[in-house]
Amino acid sequence: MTESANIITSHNLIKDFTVGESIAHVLRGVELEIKDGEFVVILGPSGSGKSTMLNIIGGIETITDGELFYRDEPVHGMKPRDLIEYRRRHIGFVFQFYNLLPNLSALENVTLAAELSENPLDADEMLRRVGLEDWRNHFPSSMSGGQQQRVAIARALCKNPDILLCDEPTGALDIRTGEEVLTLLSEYNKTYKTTIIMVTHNVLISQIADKVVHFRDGVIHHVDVNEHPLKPGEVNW
Amino acid sequence: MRQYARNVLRGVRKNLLQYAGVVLIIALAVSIFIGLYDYARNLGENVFPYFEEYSFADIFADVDGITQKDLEDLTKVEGVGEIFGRQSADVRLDTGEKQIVTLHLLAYSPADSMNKMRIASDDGTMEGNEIFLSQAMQGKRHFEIGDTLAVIYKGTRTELSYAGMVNSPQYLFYVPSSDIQAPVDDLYAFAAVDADRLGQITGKSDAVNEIGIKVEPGVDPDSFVHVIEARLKEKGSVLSICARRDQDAYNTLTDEIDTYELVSMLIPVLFLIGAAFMVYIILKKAIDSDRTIIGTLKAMGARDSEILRIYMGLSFILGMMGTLIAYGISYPIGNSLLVDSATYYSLPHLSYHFFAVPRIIGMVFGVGTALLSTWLGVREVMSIQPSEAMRASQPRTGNVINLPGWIDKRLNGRQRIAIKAIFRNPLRSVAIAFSISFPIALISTALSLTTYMNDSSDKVLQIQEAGDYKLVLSSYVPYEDLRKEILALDHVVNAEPYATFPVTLRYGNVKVSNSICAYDPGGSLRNVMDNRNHILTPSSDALFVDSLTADKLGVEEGDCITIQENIFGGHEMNVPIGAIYDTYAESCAYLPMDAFCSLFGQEACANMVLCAVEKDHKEDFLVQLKDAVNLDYIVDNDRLLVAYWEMNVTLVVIAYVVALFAIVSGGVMIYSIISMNLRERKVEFGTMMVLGMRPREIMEMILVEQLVSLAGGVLMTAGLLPIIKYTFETAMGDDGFLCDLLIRPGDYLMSLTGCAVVTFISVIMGYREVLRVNLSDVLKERG
Repeated sequence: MTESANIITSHNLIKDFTVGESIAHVLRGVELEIKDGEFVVILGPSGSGKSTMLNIIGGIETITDGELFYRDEPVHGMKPRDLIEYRRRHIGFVFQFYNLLPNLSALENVTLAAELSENPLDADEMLRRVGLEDWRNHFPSSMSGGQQQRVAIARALCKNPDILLCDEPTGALDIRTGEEVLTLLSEYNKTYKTTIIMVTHNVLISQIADKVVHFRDGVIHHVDVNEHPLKPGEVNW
Repeated sequence: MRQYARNVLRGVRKNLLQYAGVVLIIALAVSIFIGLYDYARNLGENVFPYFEEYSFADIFADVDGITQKDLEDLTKVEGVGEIFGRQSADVRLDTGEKQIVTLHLLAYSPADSMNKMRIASDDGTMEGNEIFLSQAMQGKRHFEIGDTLAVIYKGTRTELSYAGMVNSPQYLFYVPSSDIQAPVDDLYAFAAVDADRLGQITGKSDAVNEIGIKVEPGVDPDSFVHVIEARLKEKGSVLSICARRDQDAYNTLTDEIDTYELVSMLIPVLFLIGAAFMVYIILKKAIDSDRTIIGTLKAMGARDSEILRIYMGLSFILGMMGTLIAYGISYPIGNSLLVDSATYYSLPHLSYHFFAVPRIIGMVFGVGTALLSTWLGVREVMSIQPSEAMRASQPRTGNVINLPGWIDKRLNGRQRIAIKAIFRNPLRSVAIAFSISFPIALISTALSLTTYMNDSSDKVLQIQEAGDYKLVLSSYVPYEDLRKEILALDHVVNAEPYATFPVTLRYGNVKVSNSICAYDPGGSLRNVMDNRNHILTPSSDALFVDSLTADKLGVEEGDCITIQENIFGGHEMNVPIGAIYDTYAESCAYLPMDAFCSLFGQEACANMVLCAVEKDHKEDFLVQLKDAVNLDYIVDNDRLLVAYWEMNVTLVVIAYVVALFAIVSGGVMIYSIISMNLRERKVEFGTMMVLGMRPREIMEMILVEQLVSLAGGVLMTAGLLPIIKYTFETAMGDDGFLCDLLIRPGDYLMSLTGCAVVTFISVIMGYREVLRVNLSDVLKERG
């Protein structure tokens, strides 16, 4: 079996934040490799740098020092305009609080993302995939949290990204709804081989991942590889 | 609840510019109100006692051929309380210059019982060879006490000694006739000499030219005027007669006071509406963003009144701050206007008082506006449930609309977001449209007002009475003889004589004093002009009457009115009205010269001539007239134009200041609402940027939204402009001045451009704020 190439590679990645007069060293030299098509969960306690790492991979945060590559393309030297193009072409985002546009219907929210992509998937089809084809003309205010998150996932996937970044996607959901969302993501990963990188503090979620990266104090503490990741329905929530 | 108050105040600090904008608009509105109202009240308080102190008459008449003895007979007329007569004469002042300077000499006596004058003399007495000049002329010519001033009356020269200044409420500013509405102080002025001395100069010791009448208590001067006019005509010629209300100086001042009192109310209302909008929107937005917190407070047991009190307290502070700033700004506004008026009207004394009433009313306006709009904006606090604090907030949404299919399919996602954003909060969209339309309407109207005011003098002197000079004779002479005589002078290019004479127009029971102008419609210098500067041609056998006079008479075109005149033998005849036209100010009625001849049975005659003179030879022309015996005075059109401009300049400045205030207020409102709109959608914009939307695509979205708002503002102007135009016209017009503004395309375009620029700047500033959104914060924020 041919080993997949790395889709994300970082070398000695450092990120500092200036807070008032002091400097917070959030990432202190992260060495990370993520292969194409992997489902990766990043775990760690609060303040460990996991969300910052996700933001850097997504081109939302800049790097203080070190290197980050998307495939062979260096992300670390990109100017803001280049980062926008990087996000537009390669990245999909699923937010903790869905971040749907309230005055657009479900279909319109998904279509918005499609218009940003050069090679989008069909918006209607994505809604059908997430089980919301009957809700296409409904507005977010009339949907439950789970439904909103599924619309958000449909929006993210409609862009046909190479990497799907998820920041606590089930953080605002109940267990059952969260399981539905994770099932969606997991199936998508398996079917389309889209790389998924998910930040969570819920250890149980790590059981469905191919790789679990443990962050602590701004560095990767250790990496676990699941030879046999579970399906979300198999996890004892 | 002190902590929550602190939270609200921190919110104010974060949006300081918007709250400052609210305070500024309130301050502008209230300061205009107080300043103008103060000015009007102070002017009245200075001037009306002055009128009473100098025993101002109830009725004024200019007459000819009446003596003091005749007046004694008139005291017996029922309704006459007291009658007073004074001799006057127009003389030439020999200044040694080529300019012809005319003085209206008034006979002075310390025993004058009515229409008194005050001379700069310790005991109020005057020597026989002394002359006292008006403050206005002395201010221009700066004679020294003891200077010899030579006056020329019908060719006879008399030397007098300048002894000081004279003030008279009847001549707060002096114009030689009512068709000249602006004083040219160094060319025309009034002066006082001893009564006996004036009798010697004129050769008529018992003659009376100016009559003042005080009516008995309970008699209405306005209706008594016609009674006394008829009695005066039995004794001699009545050149003009009017009640106090219509006397030039009194009328000018009362009009000014009324105008400023009205303007002081109307203009601030417009600004306060804008301020109310802003307060409403800002505080409503503050509540929206604090919904969860308010729900939490309620869950903890806070009462609605405790929460409301904080917002109402904030608006009270905003209103008070605006009002207190207005108290400071209003003084220079009111005082500068009063000082200006005191100089212009040569008022002998001046005092400025601060009135409590306008300040109290101003505070009520300012604070009341803030409180009312706050109440409307925050009353929904009462409907926020504590349970809102317990669950994740639903995405805040306004009015969601589905666009019609034929529009929807033509839009991309960004354009769809932009269009929908306009409808999500219709009131805010209306507020933006209002912020745009209000300054457009106000500035267009203010600019058109300045054009109208300037045209009311410029165009009159360029079209209606064109030429370089108007010569006013003391008697009527044959038309053709006069024309030839003037044309025979050196440097004259054109000369058009015409005749004006006083008449009473009657329709039914209504009588109006006016004059008729008999002229040559084929000429180029004397014309009938309307207030759109078009030349009109009267028909050969009917009268042309202006609309103000027609309104007073209650006549329409085709009606027959009765003309009573007392110059050419006391004719009374019925003449149809050929046309009624709108003109700037109440004007004479017009007849072609040949119609006048046939109606009145007279040969063509004239008492005025308009002259066009070769350029650079004006002084050479004037020199030829220096010894003209029959010449009462000369009107120099160039100088008159400058005088009109000086008279209008205050109003023009006020109009420009109002326009400036409007653009500042509009700019503050536009910027505040746009930036608020954009800021509260920070998460949306951040989400779109995270999804990969480019900055120019975001700019496109914002621009589409604001362009639609701009279009909405332009449309709203169609409704707002007539209201503001009507407001200005009502404030500026009266029964003697027709204010009928024409909003020229240039004025509208200029104001539209100004507002578009302000909108564009606001959009750029708001867009920059959007770009500064921290994208990683967006990930963690609730939508």
